[in-house]
Amino acid sequence: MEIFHELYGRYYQNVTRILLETPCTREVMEKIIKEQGFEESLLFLLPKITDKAEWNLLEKEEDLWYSKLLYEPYTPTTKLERRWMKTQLNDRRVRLFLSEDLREQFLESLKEEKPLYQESDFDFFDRNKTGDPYEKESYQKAMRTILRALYRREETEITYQNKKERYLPLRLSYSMKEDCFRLYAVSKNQTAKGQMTIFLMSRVTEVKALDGRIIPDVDVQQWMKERREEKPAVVRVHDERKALERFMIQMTDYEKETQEEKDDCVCVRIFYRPEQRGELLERFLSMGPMLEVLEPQELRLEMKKRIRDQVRRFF
Amino acid sequence: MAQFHEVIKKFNKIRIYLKDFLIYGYKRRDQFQKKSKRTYDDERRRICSYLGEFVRESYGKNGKQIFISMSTSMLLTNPLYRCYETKSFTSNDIQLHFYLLDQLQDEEEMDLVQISDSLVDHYGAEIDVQLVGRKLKEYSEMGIFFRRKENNRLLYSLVDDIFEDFREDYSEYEKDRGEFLHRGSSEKSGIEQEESLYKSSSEKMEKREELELFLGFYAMEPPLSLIGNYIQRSLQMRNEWFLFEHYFIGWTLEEEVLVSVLEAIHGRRVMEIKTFPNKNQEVSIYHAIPFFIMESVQNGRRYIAAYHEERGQYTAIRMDYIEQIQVRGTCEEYLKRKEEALQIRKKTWGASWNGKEEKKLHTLRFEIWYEEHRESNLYQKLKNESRNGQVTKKGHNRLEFFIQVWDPMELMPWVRAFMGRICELECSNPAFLKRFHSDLEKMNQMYETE
Repeated sequence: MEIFHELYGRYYQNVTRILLETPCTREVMEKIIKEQGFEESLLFLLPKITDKAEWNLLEKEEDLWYSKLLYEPYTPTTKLERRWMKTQLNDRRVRLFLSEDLREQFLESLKEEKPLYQESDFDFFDRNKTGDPYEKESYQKAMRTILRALYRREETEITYQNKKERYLPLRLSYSMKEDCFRLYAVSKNQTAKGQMTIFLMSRVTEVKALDGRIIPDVDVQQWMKERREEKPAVVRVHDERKALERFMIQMTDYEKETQEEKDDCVCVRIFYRPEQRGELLERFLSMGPMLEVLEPQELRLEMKKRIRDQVRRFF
Repeated sequence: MAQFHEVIKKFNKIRIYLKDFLIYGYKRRDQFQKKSKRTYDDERRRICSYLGEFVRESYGKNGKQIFISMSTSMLLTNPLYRCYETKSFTSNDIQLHFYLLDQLQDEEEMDLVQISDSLVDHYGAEIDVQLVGRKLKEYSEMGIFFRRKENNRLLYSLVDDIFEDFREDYSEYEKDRGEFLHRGSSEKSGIEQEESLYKSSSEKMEKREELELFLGFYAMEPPLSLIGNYIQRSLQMRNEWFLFEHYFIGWTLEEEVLVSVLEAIHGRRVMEIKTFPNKNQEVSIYHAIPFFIMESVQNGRRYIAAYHEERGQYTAIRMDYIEQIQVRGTCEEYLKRKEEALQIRKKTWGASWNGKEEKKLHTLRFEIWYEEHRESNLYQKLKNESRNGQVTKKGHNRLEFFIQVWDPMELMPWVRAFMGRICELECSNPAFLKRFHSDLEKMNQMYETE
């Protein structure tokens, strides 16, 4: 089964889009390709689609282009996609997203398909032993209310550690390592101060959907970017015992810039938010003497303290 | 001189560059060994075209370097998916794609002759009947067309569309959604703000809303979420809600390899593996029987738990080192080998299985200090991360970890994360203790703690 196929490709998608917009002008086609193609697609795609000798899917009458097809095109679903769907429908968290009706509807239409993979095909060997309680009814209920609120941009009353307050849910973040969800939400008081609350969904007792909106929207992307520490962490990594490869792969989830210092040594600047500091410290410690924290001073001092404390414990 | 094309025949053409730009991002153009500068320029140009703002340039001491860098915990979509939307095709491929789907929407069932004739009648397209036959066969194997034999003819029809209810006129949907959200976000008066009512909890979500949320999540979460993204895009849906921590985006580059591994696992077959060239430009080709895939959500690496036939040993093979896999014949001893692999796995910490060759299990034990009243989450953390080890509370403010493993050296990075708290450390492999203490001494000197 091919996962790399032109059927899934951007050119086919763009042409489908154009055919759906017909009759249309050349300008409309250009706009679609510019917005939905790759950066150089206009150069390659437009001549092909407008030349009858090339793709013969459109014909021009006066200033408008017409589709030669009888019906509106659509992107068909392949066996690979159906098998993937079947797998996800049996995932332990699927009831957070789909009602039983919809899940059963899909399972019925996919009854002839084999799942693409089973849970037992994958061993997440360093994931936390305990994740969120996906089977618990109260957890499912809270999550489904949050998901609806997220989709419809509704406000909710969230009960967390015996406190109830009104929030606008903004994002749900899933941790692959901890197997848990965190909710990013903002209350009316917080918006003015540029603050946000991050809830562990496993500790949310109850969620109720509320009518009306009193909390303005927040650009979460912007908030996360502004929240980044002004000074990135700067570390020097030595390429001994394959440490460099190990570190660089491990850090692909952080934004970073790397400079080569000598043949066996690089300097890496890592951008992070305050809540990521603890994890970064652990990653740096785990690298042993192959990594040295250079900046910021607070992080270097923390490393120094941990090493000094360890030396004192042993001697 | 060959003309530059934005699309490519094989994904591996750009994979090695993507991997380098993503993981390292500091090599210069002349440091890509055994590739011509023209090849580098072409692949860099393609990658810039696909990834746009995610490809950056910087100028180090040694010149210009290209890198891909992003904070993946802030992404609503995986930009590397775009690199899979780039397969090249012929004019006949794209024409037949649209013509055949169009014809089979018009007629319930058609054979090859009927289809070929209709291409001429409806579109003025005279395409070689063999090419039409090949495309029909290809799309039948992909599960797009249903093919059945009647007398001596093969009849083709469209496979039922499981997403039929969810395909809408996108422009109408966007307009409706925009109005809906605008209504929802308008502010109320001061009095109304305090008198807001709870919404009825029985108010159900629309099916399309549920599916969009479902795909929003699963089309991001590995493994093989790329396929979910294909569905998502075909339905004009997108993710606006889900973020992911510990999202090692490099996994996306291995989807083709992963599909082949799963095929071999489910078929109980042997894989013929070809690796990327190593530092010395050597390529390896060997055979292995795969059992399951080990995914690290802490260090971002992926392994195939397998039996290496040439070496005659059980091992965990790094997936990012593999250029391609060919699935070969069935393995008669598959179940026996799998059972042996599972037994070995019970006593490994992670992907290091080679200690098994000594046939000796080692023990590792350490105790850490913590403030029980203030740091109860540390006890929970240690338990959560203990894998097949045991965690015990040892008196006041102490926690003990104990494990039996083939290769205790593999625990070294994790043990170091408790630096500063370790009160006792014992290991039946003296090399572990020697390494730990020598590394601590080096770190001591590095930070000049005395």
